[in-house]
Amino acid sequence: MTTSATVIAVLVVYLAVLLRIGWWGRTASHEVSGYYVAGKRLPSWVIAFSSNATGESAWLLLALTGMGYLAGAHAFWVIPGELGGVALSWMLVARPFKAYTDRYDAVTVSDFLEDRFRDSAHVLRLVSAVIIFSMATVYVAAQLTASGRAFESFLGTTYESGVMIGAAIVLYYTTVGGFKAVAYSDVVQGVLMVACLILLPTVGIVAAGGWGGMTATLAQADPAFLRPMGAHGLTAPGIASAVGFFAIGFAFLGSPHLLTRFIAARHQDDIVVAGPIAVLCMTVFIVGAILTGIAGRALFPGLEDPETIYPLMGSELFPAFFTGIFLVIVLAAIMSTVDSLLLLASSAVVRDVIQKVFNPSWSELLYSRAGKLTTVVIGAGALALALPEVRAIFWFVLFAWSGLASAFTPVVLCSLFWRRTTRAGAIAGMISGFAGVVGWVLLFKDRFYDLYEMIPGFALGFAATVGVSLLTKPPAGADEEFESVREVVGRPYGSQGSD
Amino acid sequence: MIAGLPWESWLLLLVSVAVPLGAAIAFAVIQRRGGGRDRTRSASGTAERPS
Repeated sequence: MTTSATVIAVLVVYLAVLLRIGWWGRTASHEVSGYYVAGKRLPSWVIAFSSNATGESAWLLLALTGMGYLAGAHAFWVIPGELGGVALSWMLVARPFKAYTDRYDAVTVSDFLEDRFRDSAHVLRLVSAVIIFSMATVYVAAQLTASGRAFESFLGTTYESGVMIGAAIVLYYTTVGGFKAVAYSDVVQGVLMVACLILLPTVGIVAAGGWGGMTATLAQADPAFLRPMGAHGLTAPGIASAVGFFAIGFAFLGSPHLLTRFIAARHQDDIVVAGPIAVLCMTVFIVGAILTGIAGRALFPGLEDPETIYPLMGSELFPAFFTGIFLVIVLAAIMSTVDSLLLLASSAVVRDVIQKVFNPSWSELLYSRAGKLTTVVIGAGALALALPEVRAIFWFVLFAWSGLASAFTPVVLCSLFWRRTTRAGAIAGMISGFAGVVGWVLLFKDRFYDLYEMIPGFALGFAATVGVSLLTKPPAGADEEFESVREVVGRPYGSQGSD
Repeated sequence: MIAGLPWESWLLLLVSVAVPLGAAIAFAVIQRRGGGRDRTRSASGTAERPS
């Protein structure tokens, strides 16, 4: 079998599995709650893997390995932010958020915010729908661009064919199978990513002469490569860079596509069990990707584009069969993010605007069909954006990641942990967090050592939420509700309560 | 240098992994042993919506 035939065979098997999962999930997608949150029936291991696979896109395999290649031990600063963000989200955010959303019968984050702040004018819902729709579409377009490049580099197809194949598959199983298919396909994709990020750095380190041989080679070439502050040392650019790496993981505390996993959990107990699974899985993801880049630097120094280290190691260190596996794993990382964002954007239109604002007297089946049609339309729009090939792909990914996280995380955290938060504060926080990211990127970033935009985005989001809340009144009944949720969730979120 | 890496790199790596992982495991164990409380169910309608 030729290399190309082997790669195609592996690819066909993988895509067939996804199509099968899509078909299997179809029975659960005939109503709004089924289509968008799998009827809130997902077990612990599914929500754990789904959350991680959704949170980590092609950025993990291409950009983070490239970061390890370029920055060495300085890239270790990504680890505490990502693992800390994931751990805190499962330990502190997930259970009260689940308690509130069950109480409200919420399907989306906007449902939660509207009920939490008694926003009968739907302002929060509309603002969040605009932010989600725009950011998710950009994010999907960037991931489809990565799909085109992956097909191009691994299989030699044209870029356009790669984008279209990736889009067609993901649109099929997302539309037919809804959130259930998305979540279970995330498990398959997450397991593949875990396996890859154990295998690749291990083989890379062995090929580089073992741990001792690899570090000796790297230290000889550049002693600063193995130091945590890298070539910058303890200088303003070095600190800004380390803080930026650290901040990437903050998004796990409140991004809407990740919060949706908590809504979809079967039970609070599943969230408790899922936490350690998610953190362990993310440890393999992040540490594996950075070590892959570091080993790659010892093996293949002087690459013009560090983000090619993953496909290079895959093709140079493994037999042809694995080339197909490594392509599939890149596609897995891409698709596991795209599917969730498509559903998120679709829910912003159908659930948040059509069903809850205009409220036509449609049946559940009709709403779910509208959701499926909207998913296809959004996918087609993202496809149109991706086909001309956006150059700075991961710039767009980080921008969209930061925009979503900064708009929602400060507001969601305040609404869960500070009873004094008001509707006006939430609206101000959401707009300010998002505007902070956009403004920082366009006006200030290059003047402040490229400080990552999520930091000013979060700072503005929190400042506006708290500042405006202090000037306005919290909604009636929110205090009693807050106590009631604390009672349900228990420690460490709230008081012990009593039976 | 410890095993080829400066000690501060090891410290950053180990603390970054051990603290979140240890905390998540300890938290789950405590909750499973009854340290936390849980009276919710994910099925809708278990409590009233705000008016």
